[in-house]
Amino acid sequence: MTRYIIRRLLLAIPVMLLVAVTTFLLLHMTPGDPVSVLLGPDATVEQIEEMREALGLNDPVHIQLLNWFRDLARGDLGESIFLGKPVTEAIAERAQPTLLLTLLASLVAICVGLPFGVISAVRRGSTIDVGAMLAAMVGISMPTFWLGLNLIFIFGVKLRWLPVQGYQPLSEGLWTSLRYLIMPALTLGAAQGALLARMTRSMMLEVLHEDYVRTARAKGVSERRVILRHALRNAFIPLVTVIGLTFAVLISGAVVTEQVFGIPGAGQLLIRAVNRRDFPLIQGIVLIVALLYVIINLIVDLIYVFLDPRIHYS
Amino acid sequence: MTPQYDPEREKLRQMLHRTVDRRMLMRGTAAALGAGALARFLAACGGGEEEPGGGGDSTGGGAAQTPATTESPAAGEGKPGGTLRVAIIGEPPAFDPTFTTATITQNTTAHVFETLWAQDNEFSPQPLLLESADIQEEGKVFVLNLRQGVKFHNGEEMKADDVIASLERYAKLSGRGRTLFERVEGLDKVDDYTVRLAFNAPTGIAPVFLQMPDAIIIPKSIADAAPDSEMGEFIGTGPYMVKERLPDRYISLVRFEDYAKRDEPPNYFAGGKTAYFDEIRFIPVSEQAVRSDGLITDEFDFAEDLSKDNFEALEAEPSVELQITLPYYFYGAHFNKSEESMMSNRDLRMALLTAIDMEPVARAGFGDERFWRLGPEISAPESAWYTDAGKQYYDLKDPDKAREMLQAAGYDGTPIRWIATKEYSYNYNMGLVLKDQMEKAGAVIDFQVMDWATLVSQRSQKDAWDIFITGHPSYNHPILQVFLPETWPGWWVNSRKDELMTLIIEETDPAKQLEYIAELQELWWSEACMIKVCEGATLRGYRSRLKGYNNPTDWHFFNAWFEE
Repeated sequence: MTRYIIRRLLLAIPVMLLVAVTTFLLLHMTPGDPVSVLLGPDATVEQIEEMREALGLNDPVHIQLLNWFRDLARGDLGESIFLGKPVTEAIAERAQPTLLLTLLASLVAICVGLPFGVISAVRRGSTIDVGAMLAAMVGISMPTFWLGLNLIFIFGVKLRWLPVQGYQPLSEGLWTSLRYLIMPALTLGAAQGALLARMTRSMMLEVLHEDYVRTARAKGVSERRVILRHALRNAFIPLVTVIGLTFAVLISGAVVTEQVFGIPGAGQLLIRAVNRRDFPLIQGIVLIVALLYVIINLIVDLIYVFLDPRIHYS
Repeated sequence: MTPQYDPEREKLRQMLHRTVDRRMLMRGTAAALGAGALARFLAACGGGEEEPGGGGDSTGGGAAQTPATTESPAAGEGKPGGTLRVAIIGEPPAFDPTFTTATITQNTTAHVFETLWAQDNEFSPQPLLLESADIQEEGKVFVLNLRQGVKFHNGEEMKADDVIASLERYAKLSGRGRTLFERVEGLDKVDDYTVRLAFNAPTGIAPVFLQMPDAIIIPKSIADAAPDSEMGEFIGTGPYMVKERLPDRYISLVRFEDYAKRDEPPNYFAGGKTAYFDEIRFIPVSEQAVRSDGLITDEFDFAEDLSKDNFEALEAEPSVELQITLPYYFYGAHFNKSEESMMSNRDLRMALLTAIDMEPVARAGFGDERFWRLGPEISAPESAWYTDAGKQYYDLKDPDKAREMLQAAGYDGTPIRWIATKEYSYNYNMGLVLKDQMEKAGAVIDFQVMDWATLVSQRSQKDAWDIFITGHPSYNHPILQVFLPETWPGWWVNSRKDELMTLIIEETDPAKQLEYIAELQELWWSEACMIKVCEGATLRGYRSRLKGYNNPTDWHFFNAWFEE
């Protein structure tokens, strides 16, 4: 198993290299200039040129790429043009809100998606099934920002139960922090919950027709045990993949939600960086998100072993 | 060209300016400056730069008038205490107004940093960090007498060395600073509280430049440490000092207890400033709807740039006051006048200008008529530099004539490259209507939509575009408009323009200066440099417990307080 993990991590290196080169080249091919934004609208062409020179942005692209790789090899992701601090530090500062939001949104997705998927499969064709799948369809189709703004209007403006925007760190108290994250987590978790419900339903329907389920029922095992122990556990293997990917999608997909709710997380950092063409910061965030995908996929593969004893890696 | 002194307009201006008597201000300024020459030309000076966003009107429904000229509270009227929460449109790109000209930087840092002169209610310069200025050799030499006992936030006293170091940094970093300092031949310390600023030619306009937010005075050690970059520490002389800056979360300012307050009554950015709030917290909130919601739910005390579509809903809120900000910015389409663009053909530009009906364009950009006003002026009617010179070229709405002019100009149907962005709704919406009107006159428009960062980058390339839209402040002195120098995208090269700019910079007689401004504006229109459409207001809102705010053009919160 250890060898497998090491091999997978080694295989991740070319993936990361590909991501790094592609991101760098795409960014430098995209029009837009960080210096024009940084110096403001009154800046003269002469001032802009001087600052570009000082930041090394006038160097040929391959030289800039080599410089960046040289720094990367030392574990240095560079310095943000706008924040004036190391990219790693900037990302670390924004990690807490994004991770908390992702965890809560995943919780929402799992708590909504799994039970409704299972019930829909068990009660196939019933009113609950039709209602749940209709709700899932709406959930998948609804734009995140639209749902977010409506939640703000209802729970923030009309009912005044929750703050309309912002974030308080955990150090300010668990409930204080949670109050700011409930609506964003619901917004972000809704679509993934809907997706999970549909996936769970179809997996369960497949498994419920397997011979071993029929055998279990014939043995007189209770329906509850049949569903939870025999069907759901077997349906869980593909579902773990979906949940893992959901987590990865949520981490990188919190961009819109963080923007709407004014959460100073990594997603907001990314969108600001893109708007300002803060090249080192964008490259750093994309690299870290890519790394997270690699790690989450590895963890998902390892979980298979615990769920299904037949799977083993040599 | 004769300047337009319209008595009716003057009456209107005076009504709008229910404020400190202008002559009284002039007397005060003259005394403070210690010389008549500069005092005379002060009547005709202001400031300016460009920014995307905003839109508005002067006769709004339940909203307050904007002019920076509403009654100021008597000093000492307010109550100290409380934290003011201000929802701003985004994180300032830097917290250094010399380093960046972004408006959000200027607005937030205005509480922290101060300048030698500062804008008064009529946008003209008044001494702030200066005790007085002696003007010698007909405006060639300014002897700057600094106030004594003014402390920086680090406890050090402001002295001549700090002023010289700050101005040297300004001369290097700021575009306006570079322009002004091209004329400077000496910046010398006379003693700890006196600086001699010598020009190579009369430069009566100097205080207009030095009142702008990029000409801040900071400690010599900080200025020397960041001669060509953003300053590392935010130490000024203002009534508030920086406590904490967490990018994208908030900027926290707290009262500076040792602030050296002037004795005069509050007067926009000049006069006495009192820090009533214990803390001011600027919170970046990029979503317009969320800024509105937070204002309604009392999570913010003040919110800028609100959606005009929400005006009625916000107006119905009993605890919310609204401000329609005018004078503010004027908006229009710039032509690329460089040789690399087909728009270098003046006749072609004039043909397109002739086609335009301004009202539908203004309506598309800023909504109903409360939020915009039409006119050919560069400087707003409320300013001392207003003139309607060039009005014969404005709002001609004649597509048939424009079609003939296009043919006469040799236009062959080559697509005109228009760069636009949806990031600022006015930019896209006005662009669509202008495009439609130009096409009806026979022009072919290649309307390219991109994000703002791309647009800003692309407009610097002479061969990459023909037209783009942006806004410029209408409340600053016209000489400060960024589009006048030939270095700014648009690249207007004209020898008479250069002469007029020099005359304006040197002139100390306000009437004479207005004549030059009128001629410059006439020339600007006759050359069809841009299609100026309208002035557009921005909508701001605040909780009604906020007192002493007085609806200024550029928002600030010294002299404001809470009253439950």
